[in-house]
Amino acid sequence: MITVTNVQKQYQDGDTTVHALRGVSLSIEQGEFLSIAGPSGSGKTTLLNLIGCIDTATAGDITIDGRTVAGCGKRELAAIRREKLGFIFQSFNLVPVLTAFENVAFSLTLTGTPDAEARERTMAILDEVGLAGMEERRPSQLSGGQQQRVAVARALVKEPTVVLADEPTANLDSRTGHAILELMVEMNRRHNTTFIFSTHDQMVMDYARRLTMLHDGEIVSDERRSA
Amino acid sequence: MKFLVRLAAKNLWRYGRRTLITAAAIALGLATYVLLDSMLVGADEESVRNLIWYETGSARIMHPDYWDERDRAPLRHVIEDPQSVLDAVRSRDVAATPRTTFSGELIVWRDPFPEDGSLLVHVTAIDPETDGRVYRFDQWISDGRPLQEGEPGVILGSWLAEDLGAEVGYPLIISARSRYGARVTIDAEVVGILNSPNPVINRGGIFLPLDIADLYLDMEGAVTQIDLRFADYARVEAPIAELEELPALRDLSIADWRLLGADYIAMMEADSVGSGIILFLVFIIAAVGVSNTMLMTIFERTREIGMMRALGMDDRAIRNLFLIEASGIGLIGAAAGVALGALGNIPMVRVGIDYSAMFRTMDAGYRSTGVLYGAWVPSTFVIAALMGIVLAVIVALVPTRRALRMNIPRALRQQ
Amino acid sequence: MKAAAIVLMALIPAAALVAQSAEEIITRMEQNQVHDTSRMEGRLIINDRFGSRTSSFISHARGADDALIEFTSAGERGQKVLRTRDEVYLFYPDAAELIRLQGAALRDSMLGSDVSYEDMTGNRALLDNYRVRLTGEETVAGRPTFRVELEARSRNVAYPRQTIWVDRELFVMRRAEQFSANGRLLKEVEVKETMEVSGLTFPARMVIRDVLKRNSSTEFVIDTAEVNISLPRNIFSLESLRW
Repeated sequence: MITVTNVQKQYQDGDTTVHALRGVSLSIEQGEFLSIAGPSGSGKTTLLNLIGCIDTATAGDITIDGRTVAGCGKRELAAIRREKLGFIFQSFNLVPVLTAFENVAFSLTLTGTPDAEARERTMAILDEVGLAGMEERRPSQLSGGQQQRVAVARALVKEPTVVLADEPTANLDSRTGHAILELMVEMNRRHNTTFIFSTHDQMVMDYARRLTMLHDGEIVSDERRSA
Repeated sequence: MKFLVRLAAKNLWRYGRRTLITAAAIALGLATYVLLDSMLVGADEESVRNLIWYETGSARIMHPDYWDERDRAPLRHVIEDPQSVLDAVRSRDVAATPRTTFSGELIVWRDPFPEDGSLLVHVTAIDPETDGRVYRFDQWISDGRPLQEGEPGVILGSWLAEDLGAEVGYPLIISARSRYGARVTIDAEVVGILNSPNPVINRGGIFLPLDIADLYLDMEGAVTQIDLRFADYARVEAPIAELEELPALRDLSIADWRLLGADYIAMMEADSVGSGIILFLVFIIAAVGVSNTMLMTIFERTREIGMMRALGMDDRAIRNLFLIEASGIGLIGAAAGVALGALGNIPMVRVGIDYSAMFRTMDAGYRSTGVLYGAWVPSTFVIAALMGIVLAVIVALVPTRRALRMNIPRALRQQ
Repeated sequence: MKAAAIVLMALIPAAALVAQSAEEIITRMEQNQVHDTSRMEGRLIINDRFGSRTSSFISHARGADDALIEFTSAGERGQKVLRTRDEVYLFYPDAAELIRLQGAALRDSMLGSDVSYEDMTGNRALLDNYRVRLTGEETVAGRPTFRVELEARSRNVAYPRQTIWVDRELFVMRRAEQFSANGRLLKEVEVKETMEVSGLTFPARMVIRDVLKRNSSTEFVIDTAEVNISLPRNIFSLESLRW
């Protein structure tokens, strides 16, 4: 479903060339709940960005739903992100001027979903993530956990192939973090949506059913666990 | 698009303070522009009026050869039969008055004057009876009285009088040449001091009754010019074309105020370059202010831009969003600036700015002595408003494009 | 007829000795003062409210019309004024510039003096321009003089009226007054010294006052003079201005 084939990523940092990824291959199936882990600088975020099509690989290829990412232009990448990918960010990244409802509906507006349908789906997903009744609140009127719930809803409402979450619990206390992870497990179970995390948080790793460890830009272990 | 406009509107509302600051920068720039323009146009209009009312009339009928030698004010090229010309012109309902301008030396002696002295001057001999139909001096005689026929009286411009130390009742001598070249002297008395709105007149005006000049200069009825005032004083093409058809004017030529006041017109044109530079500077200052706030705005929202791109929003849509926001700020600024400018312009037009002390010493070429009034120039308001909006949009374009060129992960990391 | 003319001509000098007519007085004065050719060196001393300054010059003249004046004093060294019958030219060596004075420019003062260029222009034959009248005999500066009043024949004469006092014995001008058309005194000329060269007597030191401008006077002094000498050819031509 998602295949990562011998992907390399180098970038220049001053005079030195940084090898963020040195040939990573990975295959991810529909419905997986996968955590890419590793210390800082191991390349986990880079890998997540490449899969998320917000960064491009130096070499190698990634396919998402059978679609090859390499060689895509900016607009095609934007289209892939819009249609197939959902993002959950460490710092929530909601649009501050929009209400919870509008933030979620924003995703659907981008895909051109008709208003009535968008409204229905948005209300449904907000209900699912436990924010019924808070639709009209702005991010500033929500707690961190609630904001991240909005973010989860925003990622899921368009029914993406995969949801990418970069350190989704780093800005939350552990209780709220647990709740968010529970929510994502639930969503994964219910919608069979693939989740890929990048994290160095043991709590997140504990929830993962597959744990891929990176070190110095290479996969050092890749294990599946039963929930 | 509707979504973008709504989002833009929400952004403007949400970032209210920033919106206001940026819009205020634009408003201030535009208001300055509008007021400056009002002042410059006002000064020009006033100058044209003062040029025509006190110096050139709407147009002047002369001997065709007079013009080339006007600096010497020669009495060689004259209108021999002014009455027939006056009759013909007046039959067309054009106000007309004969004048003779001659060069000479003004001589004053100590006691009552503070010291002996002489000054090369151009003296204007006017017909006391008809001059007021074309020019407007009488109401500006600050001291003494108007000229009277048959009396060797002189009216002096106020600054000239002040420089000479002249007062009403003082005797002076005008030394000149008759029409044929003989030396003549006119013993005259200062009967009035003229403090007109035209600084050129105040600085150098010397007026004498026409019949006195005629007698002393041996003019035998001839005059150097017939000055005209048209119903609409500044519009000259049509009335001049009509007058040129008159048989009485066949051997004469007509110069309009633009030609007669060419030095001033040239100055005005040069000045419009100067005004252009000032206006450009105002524009630059406003642009810097606007771009600075706009840059801050967009820089602060780099992460938001990154997020929107990550969610798959088109770069173009994002750019449009920011441009719509910018034009919104521009619109608010333009509206406020135009309103502010209009408000400020009301006292400028009604009360004016008193510049009299400045113009006294500064020969800027402006035909205005005292109070400068603003003018209403509708086109300036429209231009200013459009400029505000366009400026805001252009200025927003740069930081937006920069934010969009940044790669998404970096934008997302930006705090 | 012819005989009659001869007799008449013979009579005229005799009559002149007996009773001088105004015309004769002026004619004899001009014979003294206007030379066929001359070369003079002199000074122009200008006194005004700025003080006194002196310009020295060399002049060459021929008849009443042609004159070339070259200034030799430091301030205006090399400046030349060329006068012909109808025209006046100025030459400034610094700018190597030749200026023809025309019309009203002739009325400008020469070097800021009380003498205008026009005062110097040609046609000084007074009888061409004026009707003259003998109005008395007076003593001027201790010398007996004829007082002759001149009235312009036409309206284009700069000074419509003049009075000239001519030395009764030497027939040299002793004093002159010039008036405007309406009778105001404009200029006074006083001859302080005279000079005799080759039997001709002419003013050697004159003080000229512009009466309208008080406190100013111009003194015109001739230090050396030669008359009726041969002058270089073409000296009164434009080319000569540039040497």
